[in-house]
Amino acid sequence: MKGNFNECTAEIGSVTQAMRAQDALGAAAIPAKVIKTQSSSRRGCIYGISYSCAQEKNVRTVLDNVRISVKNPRSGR
Amino acid sequence: MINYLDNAATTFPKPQGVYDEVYRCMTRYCGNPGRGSHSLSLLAARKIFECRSLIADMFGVGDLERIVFTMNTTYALNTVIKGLLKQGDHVIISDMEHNAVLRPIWKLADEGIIEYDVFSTMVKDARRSPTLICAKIASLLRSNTKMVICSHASNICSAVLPIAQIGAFCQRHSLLFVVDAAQSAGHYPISVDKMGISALCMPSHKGLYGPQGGGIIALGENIMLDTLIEGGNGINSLDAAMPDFSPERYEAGTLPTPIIAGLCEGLRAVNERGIKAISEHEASLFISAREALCNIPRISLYGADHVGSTLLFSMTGMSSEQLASRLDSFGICSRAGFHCSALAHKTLGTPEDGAVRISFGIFNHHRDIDSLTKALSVISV
Repeated sequence: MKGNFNECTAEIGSVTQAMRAQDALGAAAIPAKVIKTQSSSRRGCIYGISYSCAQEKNVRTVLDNVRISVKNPRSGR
Repeated sequence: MINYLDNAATTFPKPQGVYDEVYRCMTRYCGNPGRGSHSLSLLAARKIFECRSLIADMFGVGDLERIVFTMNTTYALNTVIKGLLKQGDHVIISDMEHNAVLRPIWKLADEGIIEYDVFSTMVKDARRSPTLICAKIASLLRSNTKMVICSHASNICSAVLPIAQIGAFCQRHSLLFVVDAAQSAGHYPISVDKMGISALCMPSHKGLYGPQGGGIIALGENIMLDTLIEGGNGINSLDAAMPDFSPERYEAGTLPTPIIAGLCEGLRAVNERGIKAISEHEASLFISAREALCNIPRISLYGADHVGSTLLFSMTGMSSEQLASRLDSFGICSRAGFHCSALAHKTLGTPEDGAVRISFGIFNHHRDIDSLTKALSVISV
């Protein structure tokens, strides 16, 4: 999901999962920040990551490889 | 001067880095981990993540999300035992178990929920002990046997159970395998995934040299527990149910970040020295102590054919508490009584008032054994 004009966010789950995602992306030279947001499934807060939208495809590939599922994925708008 | 020989109760002192990191955490970044999105909350969460990662690496756990923090080993064992066992299950435990295993198992049995049997760890032929111990477990199997629980290392002597072989046995028989590593974590190599362990329970404050107030569960692959307690954990707050993923499913309430931060440095200290070197150091102290105590009148040793970090003894004509008290007057910290392990004391045949335990750590030296020997020589006269 697009936040700022060039920043995308992805919902992950717990802070542990989000940090694992951040580390996996860091290892692939993709900078990412851990963020907290309201889950799109309306279950309360959830942790996720933010990253450059230019890396959207690479982010999905890296997270798939480390078996981290992005919840309620949404494309940029 | 204090001569601390009670490391099986809790290691003391701790590596300097442990004290420094607890202080640094308390003064610089101790936000509530996994709750907020501000910098201190995320720094605290990052430290906890770092600690999970160190533990997963040390204990051969392929996925750090299987590292769960609890208050202590007893809490960890209760979480696992009560989270896995159901009405009608049968459990097999060893005869060296601490009350952290025996009491929850006994209570479940007393309430008619489970049944259990105890297998003997005493075998005459040490070279065949893994095979013989597995045969003893096999002889107790029933159609409803669900779990085997054993201490990896005894808390009253240096006996070590062959958990790799027991784990393989459990895998062959589709049994859950729970290991109490309270006295072995940091002393012996353990791999949860390679050894077929369903849940490994251990403390922060013993062989891992962290502060008191922390326990750890390292879960095997695909192990899902019922929760022992429920509550907030910072995510999906609108759900009434706990999440279905580890570790947050089992970590209701705020985690003790300063303890976990200190544990990080304890783990690093263990890694720097190396588990093999630590084990050899403790064995060297044990052998010296055993040799010295054998030559002191009125001393009896128990389970002392097993070399390790813990030596149990008594003195004829003196209760264990009196002996520990006399040792304390020489500045020597030991532990008397039954060490929360009546089952293990019965197995070793200690006197009716228990025995005195000395236990070594990385900061002990051979001069500590000299001091102990001198004190016991004086006391025994």
